[in-house]
Amino acid sequence: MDLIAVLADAVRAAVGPQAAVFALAAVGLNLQFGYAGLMNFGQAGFMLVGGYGMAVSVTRFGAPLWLGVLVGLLMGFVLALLLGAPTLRLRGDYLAIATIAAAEILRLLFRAEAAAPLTYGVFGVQQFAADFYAANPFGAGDYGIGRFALSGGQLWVALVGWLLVAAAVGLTALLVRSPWGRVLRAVRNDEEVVRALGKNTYLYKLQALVLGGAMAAAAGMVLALASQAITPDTYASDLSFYAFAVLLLGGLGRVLGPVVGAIIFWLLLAASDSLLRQAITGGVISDEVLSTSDVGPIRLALVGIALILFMYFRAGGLLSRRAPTPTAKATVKAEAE
Amino acid sequence: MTPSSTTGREATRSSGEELILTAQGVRRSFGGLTAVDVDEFTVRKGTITALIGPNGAGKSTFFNVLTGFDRADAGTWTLDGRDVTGLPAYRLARQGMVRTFQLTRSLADLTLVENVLLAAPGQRGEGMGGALFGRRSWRRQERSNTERARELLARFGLDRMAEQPAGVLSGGQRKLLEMARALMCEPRLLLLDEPMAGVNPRLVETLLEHVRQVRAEGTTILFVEHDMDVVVDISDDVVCMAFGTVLATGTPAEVMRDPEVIDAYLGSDEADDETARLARRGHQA
Ligand SMILES: Nc1ncnc2c1ncn2[C@@H]1O[C@H](COP(=O)(O)OP(=O)(O)OP(=O)(O)O)[C@@H](O)[C@H]1O
Ligand SMILES: [Mg+2]
Repeated sequence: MDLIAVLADAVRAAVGPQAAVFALAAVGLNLQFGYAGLMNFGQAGFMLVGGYGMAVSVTRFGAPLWLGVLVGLLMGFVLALLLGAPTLRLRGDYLAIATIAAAEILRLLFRAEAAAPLTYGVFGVQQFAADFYAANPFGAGDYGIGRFALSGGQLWVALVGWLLVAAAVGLTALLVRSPWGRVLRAVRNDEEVVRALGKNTYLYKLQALVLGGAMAAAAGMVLALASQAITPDTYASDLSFYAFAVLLLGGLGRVLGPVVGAIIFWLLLAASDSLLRQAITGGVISDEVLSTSDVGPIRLALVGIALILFMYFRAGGLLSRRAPTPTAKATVKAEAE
Repeated sequence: MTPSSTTGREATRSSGEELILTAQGVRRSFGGLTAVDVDEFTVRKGTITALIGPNGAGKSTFFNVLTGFDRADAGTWTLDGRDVTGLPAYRLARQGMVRTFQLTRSLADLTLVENVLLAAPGQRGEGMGGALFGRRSWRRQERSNTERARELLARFGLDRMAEQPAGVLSGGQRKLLEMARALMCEPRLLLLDEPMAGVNPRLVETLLEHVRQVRAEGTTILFVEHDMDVVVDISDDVVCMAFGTVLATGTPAEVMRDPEVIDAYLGSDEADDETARLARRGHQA
């Protein structure tokens, strides 16, 4: 087996555009769920409106890319307002239901035949990223050492993606360490107390939802740019749950949690993918037990196991400050018996 | 307490002293149960007013309605002469009507200092724009607020734990923290729902001293309390509720002598010795 190849695959994925996309979506989710306690299960929907806002503006209306980007952000903003305004005065579950449903409805709507004149239907659209790649300063060659290499185009998307992540992380850091962020963390603890102290908690929750939604919309755009194509099914609800997985792996309510989480997520995913495929083609695992087409789901199961192990040994994610307390461990043991 | 002092106080009451809170015809029912049905309720400015009544009398519900945490079916109420009926809780708090909860609610993940700091009014870094673009300004404000927060924590004997998350506090300590937090709001009218419940008995006396001091600083206090010794000890006025209505209003002595009040306690499931104490109190006073 070629472990260097496995390592190369893993590292490439962990620094590549996909990881940046997930990190960005998770930074937004961190603000919403990690700090404000808002259960947004529809991050995929925000990514979808972001990606489509950009792609449709460019291809259907001939808008320049920068305008498409603004439209995408605006759509994320509007979606957050539409979902948050009616539900954020109610109990938290309502937002959860609204977001998960909205994300799925949006995907179905965008792939519907009737919407195709605007959204291009199931097969989506390409050729909206020309301006973006025209600005690529790296050219077409490969960058990196040996097998640890990305193509110039990939490097360009990754760079832009990670710069956006850095900006989002920076913004989050500034906000959560301010009195604004203190109110937000307090809302997660007990909203009524915060209202009793004279804060309009509804407004804070709405702001967190909108800001996190805009970050997800940006993530959706990076995703579309990276694949130079956009289809509705790219934005299925798994994306929302991966965002949660990334956040939980890295550390809830930690500024850098989503970044660390996204890197671990893709390291695990790509390494297990590469290992399994090699094992199958090399005959270590018999074809009858596992075929290469099973690899996709199995690697996700492995990530799931990693997540469970994390919950057990490091409940707050990799960046958590506290190690699990002895009492927590004892409880788990007692329950197991 | 001598009878003459009682009458003296009675005189000031009727002389139309300034009222910080008035409520008329406030009603709240849950299904068929009328939890609150208060025709007339007033709190004089600068007093400590106790709201007593057997379990289920509607005291907490009345608090919730007044402070915007529950909606009223009918009624109006004013704060400092201004109609504040039906205002949302956060606006009432900003107008100086701040409440604590019967079941303590601490913000467990925030440190004690953060808990208190959160309550500071008029923070410049509290809006998103201010937080990002007015860092200098809010940091300066934050320093002076932190100083005040620490003073308040010290006052309630919590300063040694200032940097600990509030989750580590005991139930009684949480009550103290809640009080410190409410005071940070600089309230004009402080509504405390059973502030002594669960507090270490050794601390009750100091806590009462704090409450008196808060009054001395110009804040009016309305509090719910079951312990009659405490009520008599500290309050200027007492209002007794039962079955949602106001049974009696007056000085502690007057209210405790009131046969209806004694009846209400007798008819409740509260311990008989409480009633006996009540009657005794009434006679003593
Ligand atoms: N949300 C609610 N739904 C239904 N009934 C309620 C609700 N809140 C209060 N009640 C009822 O209203 C009545 C008044 O309750 P409340 O909590 O105001 O009494 P209380 O005077 O504060 O009693 P305690 O001294 O035990 O705290 C009770 O009979 C209670 O069961
Ligand atoms: Mg009560």
